[in-house]
Amino acid sequence: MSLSPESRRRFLSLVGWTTAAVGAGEAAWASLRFARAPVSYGPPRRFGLGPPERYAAGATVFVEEAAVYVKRDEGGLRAMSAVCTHLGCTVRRESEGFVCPCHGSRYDDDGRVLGGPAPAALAFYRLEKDRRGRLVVDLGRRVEPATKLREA
Amino acid sequence: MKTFLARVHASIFRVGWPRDDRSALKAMVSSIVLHVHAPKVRPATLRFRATWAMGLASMVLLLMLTGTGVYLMFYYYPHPDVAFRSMKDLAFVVPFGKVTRNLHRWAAHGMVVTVTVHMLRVFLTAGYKAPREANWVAGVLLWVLTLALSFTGYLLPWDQLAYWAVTVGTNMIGSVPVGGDFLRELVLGDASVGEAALLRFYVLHCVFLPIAIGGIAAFHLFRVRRDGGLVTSEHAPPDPASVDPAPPTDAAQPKKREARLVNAWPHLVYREVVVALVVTAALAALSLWLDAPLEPEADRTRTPNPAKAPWYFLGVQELAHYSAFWGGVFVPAAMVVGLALLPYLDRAPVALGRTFPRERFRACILFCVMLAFMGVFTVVGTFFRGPGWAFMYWPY
Repeated sequence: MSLSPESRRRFLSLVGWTTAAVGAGEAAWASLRFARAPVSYGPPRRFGLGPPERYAAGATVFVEEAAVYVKRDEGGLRAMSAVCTHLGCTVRRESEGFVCPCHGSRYDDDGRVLGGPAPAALAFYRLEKDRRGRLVVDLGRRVEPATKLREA
Repeated sequence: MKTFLARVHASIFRVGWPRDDRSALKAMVSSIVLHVHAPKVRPATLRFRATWAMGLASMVLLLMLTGTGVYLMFYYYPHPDVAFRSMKDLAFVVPFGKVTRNLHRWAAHGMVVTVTVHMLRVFLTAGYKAPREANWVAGVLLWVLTLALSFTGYLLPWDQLAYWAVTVGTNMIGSVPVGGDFLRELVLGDASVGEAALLRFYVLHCVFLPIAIGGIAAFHLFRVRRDGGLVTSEHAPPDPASVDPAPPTDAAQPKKREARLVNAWPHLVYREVVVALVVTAALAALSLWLDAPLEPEADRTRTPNPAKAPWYFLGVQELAHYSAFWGGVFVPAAMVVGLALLPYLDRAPVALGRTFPRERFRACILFCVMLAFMGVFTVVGTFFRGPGWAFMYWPY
């Protein structure tokens, strides 16, 4: 089979451009992978919250470093996120519920949305005790709002 | 000695100070700075009305920002431990540090204004129509880059305002339904605003975006000349109501046009110097009179109330108040894409060089209304939003 010079030229040009496109694609992918940081030096996901006795019954305590509100009621302890589900500002405790200072989202005492642009209720995170019985919150693990850490 | 200096001078400046038309033309093409211009220009393009001088003002501000920016880099450390201290040093220790930062800050704000008004002028005079479509798109890119430079520069002082404005801004990116979180972490280099984000914003602000804006600005200026110079009402088809009773013959026309050109030196260059001086003087006065704000150091655990973006993003923040994705991302992105596609979608008859011509009166009104809408949202966000982003009827 013989190819005309024109079709050979077309074929070679196609091979050339395809190679260039694949190479460019690989370079683009590699630069994206490079830019996506593999290590985080940001705040940790697990925070020690101290001895459980620190949290009095019926109280809601704000723990700054972890940006959570720790609440104790009859059933036990819960940790509610203080990070607004709209754009990530820290919500404040008001006489009733919580208000976001950035765009005015309002939540009730259990983090349910009462108004404003917030698309979802405030998250609750898993609470555990370390070996010495101190509280630890795991910001990497969300739990149902009703989940409570019961004390033996 | 005198001949030595004369020789050095002559080796740099091939043409001396222009004394007549001929040497003026020679100077325009032999100087690297001056040859950006055409040697001869149409007098109509020299009128203030033709350009509002906004493109040149933007260019002057960009140069000013580059100069002051490089100076600020001598004292600025892009790390959360020391970034805020650098700002304090600039304000209280470094000679002229405060005024250098003020110049940089007010030039940045000024450039957002001049680039936006420049875009308004080009739209009103229909300067985006063929053959200038690509240059309009370049202009839209320059506008976006101006805002991106402002946004990345905003984080660097590492004060409360910076930290929370960028937290809110990058969470808007995160609100994109598909790939939003990926994009957000790509920009931040981490899960939240921290040392990785500060370094990334610093590099984007000082290296990547300036090179991008410089390159596109060069294309933009080059294309102004390649596309036939500035748009003026001479480009417009004759108004049927006021047709010349005795139109000149075709043969006479080119000769007549040629005669209407004037030398860029001194007519254009002197006007440019005047604009540059006015912009510089205004900026200097503003920077001596008003200090760039600096809030307390960034604190991850305390959101200020209310937490506001810089004023030119408050329109977007106001929209984001209604919905993070639709108001904060979709509407602004659609606006930019719409602006870029504008010259390719516009089918209205060509009517160039005049603002609010009869043929495209409605388009002009529409554009002004759109801009006014953003303006109103910005004013509401700036003055009428108090703690908790609640509406206030009287801000003071």
